[in-house]
Formats: sequence, structure tokens, C-alpha cells
Amino acid sequence: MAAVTRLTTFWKAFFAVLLGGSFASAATRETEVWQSAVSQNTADGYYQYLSLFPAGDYVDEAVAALGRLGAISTPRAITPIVRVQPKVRKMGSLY
Amino acid sequence: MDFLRSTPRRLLALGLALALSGCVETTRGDGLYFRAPQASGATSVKTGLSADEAAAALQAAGLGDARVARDGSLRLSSTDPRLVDCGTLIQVSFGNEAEFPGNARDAVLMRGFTTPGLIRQMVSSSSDIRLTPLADGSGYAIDEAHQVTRRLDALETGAKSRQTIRFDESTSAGFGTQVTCRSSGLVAAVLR
Repeated sequence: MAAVTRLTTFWKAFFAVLLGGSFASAATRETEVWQSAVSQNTADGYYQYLSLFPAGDYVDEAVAALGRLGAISTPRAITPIVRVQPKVRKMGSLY
Repeated sequence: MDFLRSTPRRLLALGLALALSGCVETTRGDGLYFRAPQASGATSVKTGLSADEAAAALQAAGLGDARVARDGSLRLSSTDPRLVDCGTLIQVSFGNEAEFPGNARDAVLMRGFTTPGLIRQMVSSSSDIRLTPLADGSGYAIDEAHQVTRRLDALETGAKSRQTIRFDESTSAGFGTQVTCRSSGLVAAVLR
């Protein structure tokens, strides 16, 4: 029974470290992309950030920066960074 | 192909093929995609917690202060977004894909759908929860009233829209036919 408890504790700790690490790395990744956008200070850089982190911590600043650059309505094609593959359905018009 | 002559090996090969197929990525065109909410609300919860203990558990979960009435029922009013599940939005733009909750408080959606320019989406929610002790003392009946408001601002055109939906612990509601929301079942999960 003690062995089972130790095994359970091990797996709990393992997954806690695993999940904690992935959340931390996601936050770090976002900060990196944001800092890269700020250092470039181009519309492409801010659109890159918004395309990767649409609900991110720096959304306000990104929109403000695009406004200053006069680029709210002129996003251009940029190089993709990541891809995921969820099972989803495509949405229609928002308006 | 001698390897595939026995049934267990065939099954093994089939399993490997299926596992590998799950790792293959396919591309999707620019747009906004929606994954429906996976949560389901509960109409009751079995628990040995007293009303005071249940209130403490809800507070410890960060859901706010629950008020305990003389009849042993609890009332909780909260704006915590975790109480509702509005699925997941997946935005594909410029070759990048990003996922975020359908009820994310603040998000920027890219052009490429129907409206030019960026669209700011702001979502807020408020929830009124009532827990009534079950007659046999085994737990609580759960009554939830949720209200979710979504605001869309088209940053280029200045167009704005605002819509509020309402649902309870066992129903769902949607913003048009797009994003649907339902109870996350968090209250029952906390008390269980």
C-alpha cells in the first residue's frame, strides 16, 4: 500500500512539474514574441504577436502601437511560427 | 510482410498507424474556428459538506463570498469567468494558429472574415448560484443563472455590437450560431 502511495505521489509530482513547466514556457514565449515586436516596432511584428496571442497580456499595447503606426487596417502576410490541429468547425461572419 | 501475418501484430500495426495519423498536421485556411464547450453543468451535487463548509470551499476556490441563509441554502454572486464555458476560439491568421477561451475577457480578432481590420472582442459574465440542501441531506440542488455579454468593436470602421445571452445550469445559449456557452460545472466540481 505504501508503494502505491509513493507511486501516486511520484506521478502527481511528475505531472505538476510537467504542467507547471509548460505554462511557464508559454508565458515566456509570449514575452519573447512581444519583446521582439517592440524592438522591431513594425506593423508586421505587432501582427505577428496578435496572430499568436489574440488574447494575450499585451493586446492593448499591440493595438495602440498599430494605431500609432497607422496600420490598424493594413496587415500583410507574415511568416508563420506555430501550428496546432484541433477538431473544430469554422465560424461564419461575426457581424 | 511476414510481420503482419499474426492477428496481434496486425492489431499492433493498426494501433501504430492510428497513433501516427494523430501526429500528422494538416493546414487550415485563414479564419476563426470554434470548438464547442466540453463542460456540462450539474443540477445537484452529492457532498458531506455543511453549508458553512461549502461556502468556505467556494471561497477557497476563488469564486467569492457565498452567503449562507437560515434554511441552510447558499447564494453566490460572481463574475468569475471560470463558472461558464464558452468553448474555444481558434484563430488562423497569417499562417499562425492560436487558441483562446470563447469568453476571454479581451481579445483581438484579425481581419479576413467579413469585416476589414481588427476586431476587439470583450466578454464579461455574471453568475448567480443558489445551492439548496437536498431533502435526504446527501448534498445540494444547484440552480445557476448565468449572463454573458460580448462586445465587438471593429477598430477600423468603428462599428460596435453588443449582445447578452442567458442560460442556467443545464441549458446553453449562443451568440448567433457561432459561440455557444454553458455552465462549466465548476460549483459541483468544487463541492464534490
